[in-house]
Amino acid sequence: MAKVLLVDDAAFMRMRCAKVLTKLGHTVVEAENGAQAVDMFEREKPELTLLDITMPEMDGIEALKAIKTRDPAAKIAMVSAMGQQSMVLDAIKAGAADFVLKPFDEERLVAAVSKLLA
Amino acid sequence: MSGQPLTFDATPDEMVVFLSEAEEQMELLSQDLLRLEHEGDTNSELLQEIFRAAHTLKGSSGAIGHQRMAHLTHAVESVLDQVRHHTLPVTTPMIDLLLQGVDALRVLLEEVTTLVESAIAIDDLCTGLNALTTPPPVVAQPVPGKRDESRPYIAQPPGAVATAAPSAALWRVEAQIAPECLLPAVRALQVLLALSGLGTVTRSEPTSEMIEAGQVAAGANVTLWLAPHSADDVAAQIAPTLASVLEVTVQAITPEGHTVAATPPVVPGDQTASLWQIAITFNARCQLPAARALQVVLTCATLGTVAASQPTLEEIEAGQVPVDQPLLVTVSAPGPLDAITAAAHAAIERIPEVQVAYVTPVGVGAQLIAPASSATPMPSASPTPSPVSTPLSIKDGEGAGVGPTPASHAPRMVRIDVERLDALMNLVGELVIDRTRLARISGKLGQMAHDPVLAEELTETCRHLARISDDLQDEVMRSRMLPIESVFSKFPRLVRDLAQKVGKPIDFIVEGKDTELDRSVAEQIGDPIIHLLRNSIDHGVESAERRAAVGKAPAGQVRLAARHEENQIVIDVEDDGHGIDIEVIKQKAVSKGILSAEAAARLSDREAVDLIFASGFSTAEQISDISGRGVGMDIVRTNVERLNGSITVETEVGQGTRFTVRLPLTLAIIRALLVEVAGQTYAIPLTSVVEALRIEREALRSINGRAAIALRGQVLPLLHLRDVFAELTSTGRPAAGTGRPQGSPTGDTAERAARQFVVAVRWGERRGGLIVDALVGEQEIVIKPLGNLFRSAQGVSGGAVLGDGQVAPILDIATLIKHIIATDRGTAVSQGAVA
Repeated sequence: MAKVLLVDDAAFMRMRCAKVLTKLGHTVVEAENGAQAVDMFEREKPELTLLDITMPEMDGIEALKAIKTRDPAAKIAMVSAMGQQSMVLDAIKAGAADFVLKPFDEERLVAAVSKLLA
Repeated sequence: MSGQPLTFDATPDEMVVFLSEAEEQMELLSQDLLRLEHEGDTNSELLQEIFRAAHTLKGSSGAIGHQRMAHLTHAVESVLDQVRHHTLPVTTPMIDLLLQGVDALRVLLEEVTTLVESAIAIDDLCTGLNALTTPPPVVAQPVPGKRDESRPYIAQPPGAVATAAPSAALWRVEAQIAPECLLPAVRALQVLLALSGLGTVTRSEPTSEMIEAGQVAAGANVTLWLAPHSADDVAAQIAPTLASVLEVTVQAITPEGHTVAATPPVVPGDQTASLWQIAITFNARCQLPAARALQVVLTCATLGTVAASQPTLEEIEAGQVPVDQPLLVTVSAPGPLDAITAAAHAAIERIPEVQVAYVTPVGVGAQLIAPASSATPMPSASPTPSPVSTPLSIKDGEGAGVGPTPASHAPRMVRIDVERLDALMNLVGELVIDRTRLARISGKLGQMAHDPVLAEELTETCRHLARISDDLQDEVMRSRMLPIESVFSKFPRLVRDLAQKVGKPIDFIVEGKDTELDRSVAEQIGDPIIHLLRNSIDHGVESAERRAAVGKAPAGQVRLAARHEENQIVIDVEDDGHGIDIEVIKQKAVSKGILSAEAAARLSDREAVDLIFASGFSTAEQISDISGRGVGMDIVRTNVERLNGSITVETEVGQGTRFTVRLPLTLAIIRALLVEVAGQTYAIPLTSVVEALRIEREALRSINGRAAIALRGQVLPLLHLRDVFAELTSTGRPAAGTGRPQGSPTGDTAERAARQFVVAVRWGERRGGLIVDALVGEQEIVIKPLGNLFRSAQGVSGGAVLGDGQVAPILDIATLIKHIIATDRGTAVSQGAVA
């Protein structure tokens, strides 16, 4: 089982997502903005990072780039709402491995996480 | 329909987080909307913040399945998105509509708690909001049947050795969304998903992307092409499948002549080439085909050099990737087919939602076997394979160019129930009392010490404990503090609405939002401030015409400012209106019978202005809709004083009026004057104290059998506290918690010293004097609620823990002053009636 860093400024979304991940047996660490995510990534060395795009302080795209600079092999999936296609494209270019669209159904999230951790 | 029971997809613990977060975001939204109206779309941080708030709300409400809320937040978000991209100017009607949206969201949020659908209709609101946003240009769809044959759904590999065998027929399904359908896109999506169960939806009009983006109109036709999984009689299954989707009528199900190539072209596995075409298909449910396509192209770059793709990289980046057409990537990589195919499958199928349909050779060396139709060359592609984890800089070259980011300074927050903080505060209070007792015991032990070293150790420990508990008390106190912003945040909206209502433009300035105060105070000062703001807007600020006539700016200025001064929080509500006319006030007060004409004439200006706080006084000529509904300044003053605060007013005719409210930082600690009566210490809240003075016994007058003194030309009725509390003790209700013996229960005036002390106190505009034995001094006291023992003790409102741990009753000035007045009218009780 893996350690997953969950980054979202909305506590509700973190809670919801963490439940699914915990149920799968993963350990979840959380951050609520991009800047915290970068810190947390360095401290916790998660195997997978789920990164929200729209966040205060430092948005998901910037955080993605910052994390990728520190660890080019970092596995990061973006969490995005509908209508943020161009952001997701930017993220993929910057090295995001996958993306999950909100509101996500559990099945999709599980599939994405399993695929990335495989 | 209103009244319908609702269910939401969230566990109770999730719901708590959802609710508090949603409330937070709505609060932020309404505040920021007002800032937006004020500042315009120049502050990009504000634009981002406000968009985020709507965005978060949309995400969370969607996640719990609150469709109406998600629908409305989506409309709000769309407007804010365009505003933040400066494609939509900020206008007052827009802000109006957005604010109405937030109001409606609050109602919808309540549904989460009530679980009953509210009567609120959001369709008009959504329509209004959607009308603000310019609809994105709808990409013209090719007419079915007239499809451009040069771009088949599944491209035949150029120079194909074998023709793909037909695997299944293609069905065209036409359905109409009901004209009265509220969420046509949802219905269209349901159709799409239902058909996906029968096979692969190779294409749809509108496209699945448009459907998911909500670009489906009610009453629209939806056409889908279905490649069934099996060759069974699919036509017979389509209609029943779609029957489960509400508000959709199937118009036609027709077989199409075209076939879909689902099998790879036959090519010998050992054929070598250096240029390959890889065809990739997307899952029908793939949500962002462009993003997947980009992943594919980037991954193909690890197999070799990407020479071309269809759609082109530019199209992919522009998001123009149809989910129902294959992505063709031309890769330059020397090797046998088997190896390339295996590598392609291995690399590409790690990407979710895509499959490699086939890999086929298209050329040897730089020589193309046949040009890939409409594929554009990509000379800029990397000549060497790059590891997939390296961010490819394809266009902007910024990929990995981000330096280390500074560490986050964001405080890490935890939500705590207020009740827990209160409990903590209480426990700390207990601890302080025990600490003081422990110190006393330690002191006694030290005196009779058999073991001076041990005694010293105990003393030292007690000292340490004292320090720790003091710090603890400070910390707990601080944790209960909130910035006054939590109170102020609702005012801009209120002021805006009031200003609109009375038709006076108001420039509302808020200062000192960060000023912290205890939550107990924060919870209670809102109403008095609202009343003051209403008063300023309604009575203070003149109409725009009148302002123009006296040369003032058309917009009245109302300033709300908070700051700390010593241990108080000071709140100013100030306007630049016409001020208070003292003569008008005096006349009014006389006509209302509040005082005589002679008394009015004697009043100083300050005293005259203070008349507005007199009960039954209302300056408004006619009772307006906004303030003056019988609730006057006297209520404001009473409420402020109940919080151990005070209110003063300064005014200058023609220049404006300023109300200043002073409140303790916390209700748990107050400043008090300590007095001694019959050997017991009592605390009088300093906010009630007018002055303390020493009087000679001879100065005492007896007027109508009641003690009184003349103070500054006025008669101050007096009350002997000794008598009041003597009665308490004589009826078996001790007035002190320390169990000290009380003073003599009789009113033996002879024993009293020649000099006495009078504390002049005030409640509202009523004054009285309390006769005490001694003045002990001013001190900060920690208020403890009293037990049942004291609950019925008249004249005592609580207990104070003094520095030495002693508990001093806090005098209830309101009750004591009523006593004095009752006595004055000769209707009550003997106490206080001193000869």
